[in-house]
Amino acid sequence: MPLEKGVVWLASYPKSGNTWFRIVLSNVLHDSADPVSINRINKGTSASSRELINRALGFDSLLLTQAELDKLKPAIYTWYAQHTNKIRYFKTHSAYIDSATGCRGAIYFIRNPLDVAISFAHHCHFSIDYAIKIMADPQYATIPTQYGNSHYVRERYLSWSRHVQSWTLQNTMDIVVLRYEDMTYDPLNTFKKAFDFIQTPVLESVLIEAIEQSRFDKLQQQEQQFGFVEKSVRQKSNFFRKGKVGDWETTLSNRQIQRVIRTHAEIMHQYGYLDDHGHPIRDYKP
Amino acid sequence: MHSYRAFSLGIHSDLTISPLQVISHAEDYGDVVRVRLGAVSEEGLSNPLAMGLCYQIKADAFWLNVPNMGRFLVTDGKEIVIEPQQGIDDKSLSAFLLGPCMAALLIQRNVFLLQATALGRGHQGFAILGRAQTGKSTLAHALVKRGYTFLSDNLGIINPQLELIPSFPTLYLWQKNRWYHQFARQRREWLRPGIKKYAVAMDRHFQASSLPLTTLFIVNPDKQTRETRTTQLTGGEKIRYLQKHIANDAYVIGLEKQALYFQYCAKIAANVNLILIDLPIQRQKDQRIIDLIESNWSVEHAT
Repeated sequence: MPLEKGVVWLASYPKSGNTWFRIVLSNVLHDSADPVSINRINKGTSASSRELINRALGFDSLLLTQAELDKLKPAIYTWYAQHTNKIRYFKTHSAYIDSATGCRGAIYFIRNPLDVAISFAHHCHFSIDYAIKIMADPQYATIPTQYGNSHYVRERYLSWSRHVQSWTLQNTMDIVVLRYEDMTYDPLNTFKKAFDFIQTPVLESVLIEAIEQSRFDKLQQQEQQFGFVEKSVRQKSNFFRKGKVGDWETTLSNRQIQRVIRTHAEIMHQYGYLDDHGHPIRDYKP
Repeated sequence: MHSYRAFSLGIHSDLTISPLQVISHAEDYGDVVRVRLGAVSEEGLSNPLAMGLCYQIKADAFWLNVPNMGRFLVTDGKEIVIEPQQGIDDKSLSAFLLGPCMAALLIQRNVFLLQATALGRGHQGFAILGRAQTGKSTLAHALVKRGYTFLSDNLGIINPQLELIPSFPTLYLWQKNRWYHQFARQRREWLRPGIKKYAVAMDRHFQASSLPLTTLFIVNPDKQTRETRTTQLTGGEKIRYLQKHIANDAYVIGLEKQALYFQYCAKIAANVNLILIDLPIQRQKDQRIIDLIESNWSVEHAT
C-alpha cells in the first residue's frame, strides 16, 4: 500500500546524488513520455526554503535570530508532516538536528567523501583544500542571514562524518541509505530499493525509462541548453559537471586523500569506501 | 500611554514602539488605532479560516503566537492586543507589531499591500516591487540620495483611490549593505537584538502625505537571465505579476479579502504602468538598475 500522506526526507551532504534522485523520482511520477525538464523538478521542496519556513510561521523569519529559528525548525517540519494531505518530499543538506518528528521516513544519499570534496569545491567555487576543511568542521553551517541576502535559511552540515551519523543513527523515523556509487553502477536495483522504501509501486519498465531519461549526459545537455535554476550563483562550471565515480583518483593529491581519510576513516570504512587496512577502495561493487 | 503616527493612522499605544517618534495628538493624523497590553488566548481563535504553526486568521481577527516573544491579537482593523513573554524587550515586540500585526490590521482596513518599497517625486509616487531580499531597500536608499522622497519600506500600501500611503520615516538596511557604513556615525538602532538589520532615519526625506501611484517597477533578479532588460507589461500579465507580489497572501485568504484584492489588481492594471526589470542575479544591486528606474520614471513623467 503506497504512502498516502506525510513528509519523506531526501537527505544528504551536498553533492551526493540528491538532485539526481529527485530527477528520477520526478520522471517516474511524471505522466508523459517526455523527460522532465531539470528546471521543473517538482519533487523535493528545499526544507531550507525561506518561503516554506515563512508559510508555516505566518511571518518573515528574518525577524528571528538564527538561534530562535533553529529552535523552531523541528516544530515547523512537524507541522508540515501533520498538515499535508499528500506525500511531500523535503530535500535537505542539514544534518539531523533540524528535523521533525512524525515524518514517514528518510532516504539518505551518501557518496565517497573523496569525490564529494572535488564536487563540493566546484559547486561553491572554492579550493579543494577548503572543501576538505569544511567537511572536517564539526560545527559547519551555511551563513545566509549574516549578509541579509538569502532565500534560504541556515543549514547545519556539521562535518561529513557527523552528518552521516546524525541521519543514520537517529531513531525517530525509518531510513534507507543509498550510495551514489550504487546508483551509478546498479541503478535499477538501487532506485528500486528507494521506491520500495517509500512504498511506491513502479513498473520496472517505467523505472528503466526514468533512469534513462535522467542519465548524466542528458542532464548535462539540458543544462547546456537551458541552464539549471538550482545551480549555485558561485559555481563557474556546470552543476552537472562530471558525475564520475572515482574522480578523486586522478584529481586529489596524496596529501588531500590522507587528510580526508584521517578525518572520516570510520564512516568511510562502514560504507565501503575504505578497506580493512584503511586504504581507499578503487573497485566499486554494489 | 504613548501616541504615534504611522500608516496615515494615529496610534495610542501602551507599548513604546521603536522606531516611531512620540507625538502629542494621535487624533490629528486620521483614524486612531489602539495598541494595548493584555491577555491573548493561548489556544487562538475559534474556527479559524487559515492557520499555520504560529498564526490563525479569520474574517475579523488575526492571532499570532511567537514562541518566547509573545502573543498578538489584531481585530477589526482597530485594535492590537499584545501579551508579551516575560522579559522580552520593546524593540522585539515593535518589530512584530510594525511587521505582521500592522500588515494584518491594514488588510482588515481594506488596504492593498504589496511586497514593495514606495517613493515619490513631486506630486507622484511609484513603488519598487520584488520578492524578499531583491534589494528594494537598497535601491530606495540610493534613489532617496538622488532626491526622491521616501514613503515606505518593505510594504507598498495602496488605498482604494490608488494612492500610496506613507508608513513611517525609517528604512532598514542589513549591516552587510555597502551603504550601511555611511550611516555609521548616525544614530544607529537595530531592528531588534541579535538581528543585524539597522534603522536608517528618513525624516528629512519623508513624504508624509499620500501620493497617487503612477508606476510599479518589478525587480526580477534571476539566475538564468543573462542581460538586463525592461518590459512594459500589459493586460493579464500585469494582474499576474501583481498577484505574485501581494504581501502576506495567507492573511488575505484568512481575512477573506480575495475578491477585494482581485478588484485592486484589476484597477491597478488598468491605471498604473507596470515595468518589469529582468536582470542577472549578480546585478540586483547594480548602480545601473537605479539608472534604469530613474530613466524609465523620467520618460513617463518628463516635464
